[in-house]
Amino acid sequence: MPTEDPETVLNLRRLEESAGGDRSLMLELVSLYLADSDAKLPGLLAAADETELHRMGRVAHGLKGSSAAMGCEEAARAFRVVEEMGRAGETHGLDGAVRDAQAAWRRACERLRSLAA
Amino acid sequence: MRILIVDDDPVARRILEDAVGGLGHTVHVAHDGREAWDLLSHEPVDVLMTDWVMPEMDGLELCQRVRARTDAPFMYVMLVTERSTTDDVVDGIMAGANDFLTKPYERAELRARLHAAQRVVELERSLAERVHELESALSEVATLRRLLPICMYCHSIRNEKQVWDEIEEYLRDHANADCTHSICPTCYDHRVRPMLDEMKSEQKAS
Repeated sequence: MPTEDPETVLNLRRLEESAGGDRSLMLELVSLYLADSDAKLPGLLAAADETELHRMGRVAHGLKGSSAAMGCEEAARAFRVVEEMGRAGETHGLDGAVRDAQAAWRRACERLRSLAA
Repeated sequence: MRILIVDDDPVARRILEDAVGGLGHTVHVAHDGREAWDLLSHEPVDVLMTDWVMPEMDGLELCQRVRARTDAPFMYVMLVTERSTTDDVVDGIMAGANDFLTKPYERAELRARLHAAQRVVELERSLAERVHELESALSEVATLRRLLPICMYCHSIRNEKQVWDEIEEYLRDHANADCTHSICPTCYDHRVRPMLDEMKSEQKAS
């Protein structure tokens, strides 16, 4: 079970760097990430459910990248685990890895929403 | 510089667009390799900054296609990707990439890498201009060499040693062609026939 270190759930310095210190761009990025990841996650869950590992890996790759850019380090790490399992064709422990990624993503989204509020 | 950003991830695309645009460059954006490839057919671009893993056409294939264009001006290619193992770097460079920027990146690193890109783009542009100038000069030399000074009366030709050669001699020396003498129909009518007619007249008279 991953720990909920606030710094890894959302590394604010990373997010500020991505936004170049511009608060309005930061809020735009938060909005983009929330909408985009919210649209992609069901595809990842469905691919995992159908054991479409290649497709699952590709979606996880995208979510890993955008999470890392947003400073959502815990989510980025969890998506990377899912991506690597997809690439390796590994199904053992897949359900747990996907659940961990989804939970980490939820925590990240919660922090981002509170930041934008 | 004119910079094309290619990324299927809206967050990554927006971050790069803002960072590159903020440095004063003209930014074009494409959502995947296919869209970028279409755009490159009509939009001049100095630097291509592309993600690797994308649907439709990935960054590696886009790189290879760009490098396969023989009639297009030089374009600097930077792969902007999470992939950064030695194998990835080798594959990227073999596909034609000039540089790598690993995600997530610091804006200072992006600025430095674009600075290096600008040096290479300017060098390539200057080189292309010099090559064009040299090609034009060579073309003029070739044209001048094709002009043969020929005597308008006897048709002798002045050779490269400034000596006048008879046309047969010149052709033998320069075109490796031996001449055999003959009479064309026009000269036959204008020169030979009058001579023959004159000879016949003289014979009749005698």
